[in-house]
Amino acid sequence: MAISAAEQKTALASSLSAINHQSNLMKQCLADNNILQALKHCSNFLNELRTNQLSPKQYYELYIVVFDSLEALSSHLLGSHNAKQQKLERKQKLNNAENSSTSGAGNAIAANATAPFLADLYELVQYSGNIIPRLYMMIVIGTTYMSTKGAPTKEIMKDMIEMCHGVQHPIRGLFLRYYLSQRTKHLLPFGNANDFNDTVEFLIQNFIEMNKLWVRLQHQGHSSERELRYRERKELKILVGSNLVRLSQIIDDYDGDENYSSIKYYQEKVFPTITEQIIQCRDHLAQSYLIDVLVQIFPDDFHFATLNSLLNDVFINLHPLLKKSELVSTLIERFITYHKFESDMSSSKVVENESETKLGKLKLEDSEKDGDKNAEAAKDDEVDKREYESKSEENPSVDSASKPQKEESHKKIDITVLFNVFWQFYLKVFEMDPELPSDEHSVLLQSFIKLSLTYDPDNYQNLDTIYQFATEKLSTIKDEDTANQEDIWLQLLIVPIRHFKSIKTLFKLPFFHEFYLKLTNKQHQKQISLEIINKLLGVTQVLEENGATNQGEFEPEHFSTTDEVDGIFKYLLVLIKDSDKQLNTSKNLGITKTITLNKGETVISQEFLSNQEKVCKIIHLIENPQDPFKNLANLMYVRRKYLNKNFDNIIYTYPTLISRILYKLKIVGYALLRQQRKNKKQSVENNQDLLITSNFKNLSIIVDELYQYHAENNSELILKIYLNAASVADQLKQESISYELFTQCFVVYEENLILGSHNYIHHINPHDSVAGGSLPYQSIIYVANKLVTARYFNKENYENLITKLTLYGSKLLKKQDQCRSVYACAHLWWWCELLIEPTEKSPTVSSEEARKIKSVDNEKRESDNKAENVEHQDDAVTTEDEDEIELYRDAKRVLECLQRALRVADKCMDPYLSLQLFIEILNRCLIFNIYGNALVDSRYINGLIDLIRTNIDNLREDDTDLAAREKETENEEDDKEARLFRQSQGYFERTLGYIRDQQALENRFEGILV
Amino acid sequence: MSGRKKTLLKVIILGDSGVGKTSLMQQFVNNKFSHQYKATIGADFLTKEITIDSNKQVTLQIWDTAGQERFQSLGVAFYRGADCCVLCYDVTNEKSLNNLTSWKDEFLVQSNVSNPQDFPFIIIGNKIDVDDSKKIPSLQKKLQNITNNQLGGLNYPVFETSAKDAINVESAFEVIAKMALQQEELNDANGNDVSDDYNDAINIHLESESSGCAC
Repeated sequence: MAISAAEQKTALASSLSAINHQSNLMKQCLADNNILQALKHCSNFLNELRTNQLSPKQYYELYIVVFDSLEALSSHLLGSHNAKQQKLERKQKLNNAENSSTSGAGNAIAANATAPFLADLYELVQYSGNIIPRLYMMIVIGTTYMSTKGAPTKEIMKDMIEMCHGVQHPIRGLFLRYYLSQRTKHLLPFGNANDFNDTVEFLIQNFIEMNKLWVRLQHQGHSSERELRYRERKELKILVGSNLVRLSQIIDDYDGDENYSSIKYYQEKVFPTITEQIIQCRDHLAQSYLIDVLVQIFPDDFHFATLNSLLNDVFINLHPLLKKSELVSTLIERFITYHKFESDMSSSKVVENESETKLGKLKLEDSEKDGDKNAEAAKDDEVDKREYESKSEENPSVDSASKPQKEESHKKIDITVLFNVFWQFYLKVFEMDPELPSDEHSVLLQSFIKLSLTYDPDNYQNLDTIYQFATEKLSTIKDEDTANQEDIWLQLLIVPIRHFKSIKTLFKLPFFHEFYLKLTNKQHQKQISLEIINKLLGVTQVLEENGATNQGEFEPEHFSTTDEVDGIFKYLLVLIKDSDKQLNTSKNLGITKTITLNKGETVISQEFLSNQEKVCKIIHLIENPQDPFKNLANLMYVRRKYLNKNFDNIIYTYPTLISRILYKLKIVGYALLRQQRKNKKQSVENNQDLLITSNFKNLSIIVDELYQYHAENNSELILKIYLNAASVADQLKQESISYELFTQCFVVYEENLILGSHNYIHHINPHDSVAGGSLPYQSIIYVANKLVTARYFNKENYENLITKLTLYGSKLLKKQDQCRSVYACAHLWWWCELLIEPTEKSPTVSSEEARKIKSVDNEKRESDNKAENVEHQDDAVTTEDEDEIELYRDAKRVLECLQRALRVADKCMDPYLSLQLFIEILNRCLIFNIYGNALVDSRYINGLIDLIRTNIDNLREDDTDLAAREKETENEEDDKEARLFRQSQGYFERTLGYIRDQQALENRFEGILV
Repeated sequence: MSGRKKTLLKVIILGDSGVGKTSLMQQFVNNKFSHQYKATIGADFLTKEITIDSNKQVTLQIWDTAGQERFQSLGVAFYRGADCCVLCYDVTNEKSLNNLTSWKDEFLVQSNVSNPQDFPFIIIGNKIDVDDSKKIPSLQKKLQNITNNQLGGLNYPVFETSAKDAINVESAFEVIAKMALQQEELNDANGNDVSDDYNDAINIHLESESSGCAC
């Protein structure tokens, strides 16, 4: 029997052409009305179906061609039958007219007249020699006969299905019976209950026989062809399935009387018979396919009605190698699609829905109680089972009772009941087969989760039941392959995360976390944590939508209570604790991207860093717009309970946390200040003020902690954090806090920055006044920049701080750093802008002092007036002065600083650098001059300009070549000194140009000689 | 007898699973619509006699197919001899729209039609009764795009139907019948003689082949 594919092809081709040929001959005979000859040709081409050389697919091709040819025969026969019938009727009428009195003969003719022609033919073909052609012809004639009026339909059906027993060759038999079912499909009688029962019987019988043939095929032939048989059977399966399709259609079509309920009929008659067959055949392929068909082909209502039995009587008794998880998941998939479909439908029927949801709610409450009971008494299986049986039996009766509103009743699928039926089934499976592999468990449970989430996204009970079970029972199962097993559990945990609308659903599932903790592999825990984070941040969403559409719409969730913070951060703990110190081999192979930190001492992976970044993003989601103090408390709580669990990592998370806290503090602080300003007269004793103070104290603890663990490599960052906090504290009038924080800055400076142990290993260009400083110098500038905006210190404190800073500056190692930091510090003694509300008074400025300044200002103004040029630009300054702005100013100290800077610059060994510094100081002097420092007057500035000129001249003279070289090397960049000299000269020229411009335009710099 | 020869026109409905092929056919043939979803197993046909152009009576043999491949295990031999092919998509399911091309290609490969270039296809977008918000955004443009770029720029007739509310179903099948009839007449004109010759030529060595068992 094993023939090659090529031989099969030629066999197919020759069979096809033979069929076509004979079929054409048949049609010619039919056209000539030579029916007997036509039947002979018909029998000839039907003989081709006796082949056993072809595969099922090829045989199907023959079948299709044969089918078409037989249709031609059938339509011809029907045509001639109708013609004969008409003739007969005409004759009968004639007869009736002629001898109406002798009605006996007429009646005999009439009785006979129904169709002797087709009945005769039906008899005739029985004498055909071979059974295959014989039966096909029987069927084609029989069914044609059935389609005529008054035919003995049921007898023919019975006869045909009996005769089909004659073919026991599986493939031929299957196709023959398939032909029978195709030909009979719209002729089946179902006019009354009796007919309907017979028809169902007919279909079921055909199904049973086909299934037998199909199963038997497996056991035929040589055992070496088992695989081939299996493949063939797989191809043939739809023939068997088609019977169930017919059954389903006929049940649909039959309306029945008022007592009839299709669901009930299915449940009582069809379902038991079919499933018994499925179970009895004990065939793996047949069972898996037929269950699939059963699930797909009958309506969901039917499945809901028979669910209990389907699961517990059928699924349990199927072939032990059949994966129950697959069966269940197809069933559940179907229920899920059904639900989506239903909700699509119902979206248009809003009114109906309202009443239904009420009903649904009532029902839900009932069953929730049941659900609780069940969860507790999971051991009392028997009691439970009885309960469910009675429950599921109730369902159809509800349906049939409310048949008029059938459509509405569709929607009343109670998830709790549904879920519990599945759950009991699952427990039973578990009990029966404790060795069930983990992936089975996982698939089953995942399906349950999906089901529950689809039908009722707010029902957490079910999910928790699942996780409870998983935690208690499943995690104790030990497969040999633990890693693989954990992979499976991982899936189980990830599924709901992807399905939840809100991640907060997780908070309601205590056992989700328990199960999560059972995962021993940190990598898996991390994966879930990341899944949660990504969901929160909308990452998956963005990916799914290809980054385009949904991005804008994504509204991140916030966490406003401690519980919520707990809820989310307990899943992040694994990331917070994560340490990336031992990099695995993948790093050595260059697979993992790495980043080098701390002067090359530490190497971390890109992934690790991005995970920490994500944790930080989650910190941003801690938000409580109603209660900012609660918000602050939550932030503090996060640190205390979670973030400080691994001090190595706080360097990544604390900065975010701190800036978040500062931000929140600013908001409440400003609100408080505004309030205080409003009720100026009332006492300001408000406990909010104390709250802010205590929050600042807590904040400083956090920064201290950061400093404690990361002083060595991150002092600069920590300094900035302190500075930022100090500045905010000042703005919120927390003077002592701010003072302490600034002091803390000095501590950091002294302990870690003063030596300039900076991270950068790059060349510092001393001539670069902007970026050319050492780290200690930079630190001083940072502090100065913040101090210059501080407005709420009392005078003593302020002077303490700025004096100290200036002192640090003057003690820097390098001359240029010294010089620059001192002249920068000069600004701390001479405020240029108010920065605070004009109505307020800065405590730094004692009233006595202010008066002094005012007098100085007045003097200046007088001198301005003397200049007689009252231009509008000047007005701005003047009016400001008139509003009695009180600024902290100490002209003497400014001058001292400038002097000091000059001295340092003078001491520079490098004359070019020295020159550069002089010019920088000149620029500073101009600023102070503009802002009215009387001590930095034109005389002083003229002196400085002279000094610079002298220096330039000296440099020219010192190096006689210089001038020459200056010209030569105009285009050459090699000569460093020449270039520097040129730069400084240019700078000087620009400065002088500025003075000239200002003199011309603004009446400034009077008396300065350029 | 042969005076009134009835024409049988074979129509194949193709498309993704769940777009409503069975529903369209049921609506057209039986004027029925079922809310229940049932997968189609294998392929099956319904017939309906209709009159087109007010005088020609034809029998439409409409083949409904399984959108899911696992229910099509015996292959698609029934494509042979088709006179018209209906490509269905679901107006709420963009994937089903995008798959039209592959259904068409699959059909042409398997059906072995003599004139693949101008074989009559028709496109039906089903489920227009569904809420607008669920429909594919800028559907017309996408459809245009597909017909221009993937279906060879041929202007197949397009219908938007609702099998549920019986919108446009009748008129779509009327067009289908007309197109199928045209195709059938075309085949009759140049197909019949050829196949006869071919059969005669091969026939000679067929007589001897009568092996196999007696059943």
